[in-house]
Amino acid sequence: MARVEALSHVLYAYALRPFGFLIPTALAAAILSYQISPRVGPAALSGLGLSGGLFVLFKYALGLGLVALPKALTGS
Amino acid sequence: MEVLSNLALGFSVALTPWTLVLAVGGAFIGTIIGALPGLGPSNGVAILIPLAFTLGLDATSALVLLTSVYYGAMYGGRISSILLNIPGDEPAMMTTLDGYPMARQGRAGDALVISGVASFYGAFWATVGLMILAPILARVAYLFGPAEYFALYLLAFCTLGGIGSSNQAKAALASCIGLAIAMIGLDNTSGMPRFTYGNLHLMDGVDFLVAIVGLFAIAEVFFFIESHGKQSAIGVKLDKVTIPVREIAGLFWTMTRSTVVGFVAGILPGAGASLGSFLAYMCEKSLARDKSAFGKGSPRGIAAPEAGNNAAAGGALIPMLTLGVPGSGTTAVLLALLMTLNITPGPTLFADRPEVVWGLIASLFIANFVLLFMNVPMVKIFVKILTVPSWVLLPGVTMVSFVGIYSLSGSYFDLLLMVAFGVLGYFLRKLDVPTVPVILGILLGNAMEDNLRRAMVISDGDWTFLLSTPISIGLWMAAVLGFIAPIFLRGLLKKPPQPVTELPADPD
Repeated sequence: MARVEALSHVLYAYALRPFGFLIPTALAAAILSYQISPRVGPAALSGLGLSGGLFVLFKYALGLGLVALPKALTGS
Repeated sequence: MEVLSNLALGFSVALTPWTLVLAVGGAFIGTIIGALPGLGPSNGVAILIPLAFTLGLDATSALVLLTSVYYGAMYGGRISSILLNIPGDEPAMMTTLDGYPMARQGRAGDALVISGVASFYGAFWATVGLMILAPILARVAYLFGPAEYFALYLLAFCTLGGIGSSNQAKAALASCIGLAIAMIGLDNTSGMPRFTYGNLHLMDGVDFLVAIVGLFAIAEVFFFIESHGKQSAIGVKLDKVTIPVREIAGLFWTMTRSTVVGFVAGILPGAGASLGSFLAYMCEKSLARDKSAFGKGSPRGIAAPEAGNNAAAGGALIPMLTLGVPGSGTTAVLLALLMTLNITPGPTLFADRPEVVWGLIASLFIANFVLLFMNVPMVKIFVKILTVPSWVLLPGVTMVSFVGIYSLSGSYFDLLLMVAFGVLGYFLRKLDVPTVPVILGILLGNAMEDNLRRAMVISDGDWTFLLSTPISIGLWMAAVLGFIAPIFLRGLLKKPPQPVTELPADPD
């Protein structure tokens, strides 16, 4: 179990720059949540909620320069 | 009356609205961190350090925020000890012994109030002690040269390995791992890269914040998944919270004794709050006429460890501020913060940056009163937070640590390094090797090496220089004693039975 988690962390580290903040964070949080309590619904919800909530917190309250989405999607 | 005028300076720094907001906010977050099982003071402070930087705080404000979190976590640990029978952090372990039985008897509210007042009492007087003792020790520290500093660092490793852990060899191994990691990067004296294997990311060395968050927070997550986070349910009812004034007044001497014991345990480098609360509890138990009441919900058994561990938290700040040698895992994390802020702890800190030291002390007093208020009338809010399910909480904590570290350098390499440290911490924990000496090694390794080299340059390579002054001889003897004596004492000081539902607690 912990092996899956470590692997997902490594992938997260590599994915953060090319794919932006929201998608990798939602996935990583959902995977971790699923491992603690294996129910798909709540895990998906906590992944989505956490990635959105933390993005708003970090970007607007703390002023971090996070990129929300992959560059290809936003066209910049 | 120098102390009073210094304190006035401190309050003039600390009583600005912004600092007050930080102290209150830090105390609140700290109490939550302490109350959540598995998240202890060292974890909590480690996760918040990167955030303190992104807020763009200056040195004083960052220190105020994080020491408020530190004190808050010390207060908060007792909440889950009493309500869930799970220590919120390791120093709160002793509180489960009497806190949970008392809560089972329907006196959960009383137990929370008594422990809250005891925490306040211990922390308040420890802060007074810090205020009086720290400047004196800082003056002594002026006598320290490179040889003495080298011996002092050695003392910290020895006592941490000896008193703070259960196996000397494992603690020594952990210290060596830490010291070896500290070697990585450019050599301070010659400018040559060491152990970087041509990797540019490693030229700067390993950032200790990355190591700390990895070893404490990420390893905790791995461990939690495997132990399959037993869902914690509050098994006792908390009705009205009233203040049992007479009972608290009757505990006056218990709290005073425990504060003294905890404070002294806190000053010893490497011992920290867990030892403080343990010794305070054992001392109170051996003094009591009716020993059978302990372990069944005795108020003395709640007041003693709480006063002890909060007093130790204050005491542990003394060696950290005056000598730059942390007394516990959490103060090691605070030392990392100071070093990142470019503040060198030690005697010169008191002379050059009095506003930092005294602002910190004043804000500790403020944080204490805020915490007393939060933890007695408002304790119900924190009890509510304990009901947040772990499958939301833990992913949240993990993601906050990732973003925090990412915000330091914006490099994926630091994230990978952090995961690697998490894996290392997980295996070390499996092998029952303490992780705090690793942190201490990474933190102090470079300073220790610099001092050794300086000593060798001064003496032209004569190693007896290391043992040439009375102070350094005393430190060396204390180091050897601190490492070896616990082997023999361990049989005498048997640990009490652990609570049944014990989570891997945070190493403080």
